[in-house]
Amino acid sequence: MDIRRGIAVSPGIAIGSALVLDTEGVVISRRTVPAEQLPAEKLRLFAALARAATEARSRERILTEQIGRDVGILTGHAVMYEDATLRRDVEKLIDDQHYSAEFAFSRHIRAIIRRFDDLPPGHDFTRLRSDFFDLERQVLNQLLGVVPSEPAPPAGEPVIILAADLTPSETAQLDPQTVHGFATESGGPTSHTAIMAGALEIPAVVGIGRFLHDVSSGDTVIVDGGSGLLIVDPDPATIEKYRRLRQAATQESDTRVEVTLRDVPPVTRDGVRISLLGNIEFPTEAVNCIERGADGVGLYRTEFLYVNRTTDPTEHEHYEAYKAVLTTLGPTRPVVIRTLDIGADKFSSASAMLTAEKNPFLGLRSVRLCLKNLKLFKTQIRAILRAGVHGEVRIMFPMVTTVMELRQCKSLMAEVVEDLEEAGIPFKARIPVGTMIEVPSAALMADVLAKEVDFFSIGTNDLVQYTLAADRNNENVAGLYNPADPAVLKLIKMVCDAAKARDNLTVNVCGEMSGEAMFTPLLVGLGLRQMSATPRKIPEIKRAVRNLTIADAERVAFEALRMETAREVTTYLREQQRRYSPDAAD
Amino acid sequence: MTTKPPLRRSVVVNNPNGLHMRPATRFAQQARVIPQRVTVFHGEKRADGKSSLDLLMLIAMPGAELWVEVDGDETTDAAEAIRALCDILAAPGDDA
Repeated sequence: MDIRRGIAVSPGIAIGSALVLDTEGVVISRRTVPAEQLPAEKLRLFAALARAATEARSRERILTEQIGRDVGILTGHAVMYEDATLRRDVEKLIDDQHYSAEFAFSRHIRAIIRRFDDLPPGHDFTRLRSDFFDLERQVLNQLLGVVPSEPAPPAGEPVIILAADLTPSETAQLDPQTVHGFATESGGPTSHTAIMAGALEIPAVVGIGRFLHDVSSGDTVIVDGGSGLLIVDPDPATIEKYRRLRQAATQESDTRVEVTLRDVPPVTRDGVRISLLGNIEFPTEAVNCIERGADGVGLYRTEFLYVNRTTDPTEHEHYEAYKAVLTTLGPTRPVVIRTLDIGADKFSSASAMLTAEKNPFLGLRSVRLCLKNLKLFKTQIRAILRAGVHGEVRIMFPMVTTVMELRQCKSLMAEVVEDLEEAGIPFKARIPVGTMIEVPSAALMADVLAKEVDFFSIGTNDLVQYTLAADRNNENVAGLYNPADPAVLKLIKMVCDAAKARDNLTVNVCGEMSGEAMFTPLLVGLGLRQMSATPRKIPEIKRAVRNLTIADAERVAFEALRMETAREVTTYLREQQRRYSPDAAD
Repeated sequence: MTTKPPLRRSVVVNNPNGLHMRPATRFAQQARVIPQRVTVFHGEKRADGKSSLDLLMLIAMPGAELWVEVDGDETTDAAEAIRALCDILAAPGDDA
């Protein structure tokens, strides 16, 4: 058994036999043609380019139908086959050097690829290399009359494709019915191949490094797309473990299992009730929270109201979107509405006030943007207060960095309340106000912030990013981004302690961390009694809660806080998870 | 006869991936629609605006300042064309 680690780009588990694809570029030997054949040679080139363009467009169309949206990468290739500059440059090689069309095209594309090779390692544009290898291969296939050897395994036999790299065209042709996963030696998380795998929902791991010489077609392999692992020749116990994991994953979405868990409360074995809430993005998802037995909506993101449009949303649009969710959740379940949480570059009216930011994640975004754009902010606050008459609404401000910002938000709310009173419009005056804790300064000042609010909500995704100063989408530093890092745990502990000292102020966690059962004992042990996750994850978290006692959880938190590295913490938490939830996945 | 100077405008690349495959494709497709010559400058480098390949080779990262030139003057339809082309470069689209 051989376990290789790569970059996880598309989640899911695939078990099957390997199909090793030789995707090394075709080597074309230098060939020249007699002068009188040059016009014919150029015509061959033009015809091949035209056919390659047609082919790319038709693949793009098929892919669009398959996944229901436009990817656009193969259209990009088509436009390039029709590129006059490209044609002229290759034509010149044929005219001046008397090269064959194949050799001229191959040589020219390789020259382009070399210019990408000269960029510093990890440069964003180097990922275009695989696109150009793709262009080369497609045109050569046309010139040589090669019918591309498509990955065509025996019907019904699931395979896992292993390759040095897959070009976007090749990925687009993979049929999820037969190709259950793939793993490649090169590639990064943002390559076009990775984007396609995600769109097709095929489990995939890329950037593994050299491994193809150790594996041959027909070997049994496992792709663990969630953890970024490729397991070659797994032993029977490992196969069995992954079979169960795969089955468990399928069962997560199996409504029968959810129904049995839906009507039992999330209570620890020693009787402590934990609130489990759902994170939603669109009003239509509110019903998913009810179906999964959530206690309410812990995070209602409102960015959808602002993006992909040319004007800002009206108060009425806000109001309708909030009313819909509040009505679905009923009079007693809380709905926490988070005010606008994006950068100015993402939507219309604010983009005008934006001069290009060198460092947008440390720039004008989220509540900072709202406090500079009071009209926009007041419109949203007014709608939230008005929608309050339809249910148990709460308001939450994101990315608060200083207590002054929080006070500004609150005084703005007071102004809006006055306006509504004067205008005689029905609204709810006293709604709970919360702040997100997602930058280190807020965690460090939690004792001060606690005096200003009715609840905290720890946004772990941003808290991890800002604490460790690492963007998880940047493959060069993604390894630093880890919610299990002791620095992150210490900040969460600090926030919980500050809340406890102030009459047990409610603290919620709403990042991806709260949706991973591995972290449930730790979070409960740190003092959290409320967690908010994507509705799909709620049954799993509920099961983890029901397997715990508070004493167990506190011991786990105590031990984890003494550890020095994220790796130690992760290993320990996995071990504890197996101990307390032997039936669950790790 | 003197040749008139072309229309010239500067624009900052706002796409978080820079002038990558998809924006370059959109730009070239748009530029191919008009008869005039379109040239894009990035520092010392220049690209034929009708060639997505040329545009990619500008290696323009997010925040890069580009100059777009279209033959013609304010009174011709070149003015409308250059505006549409600059909009593509300035668009903050999330795609690559």
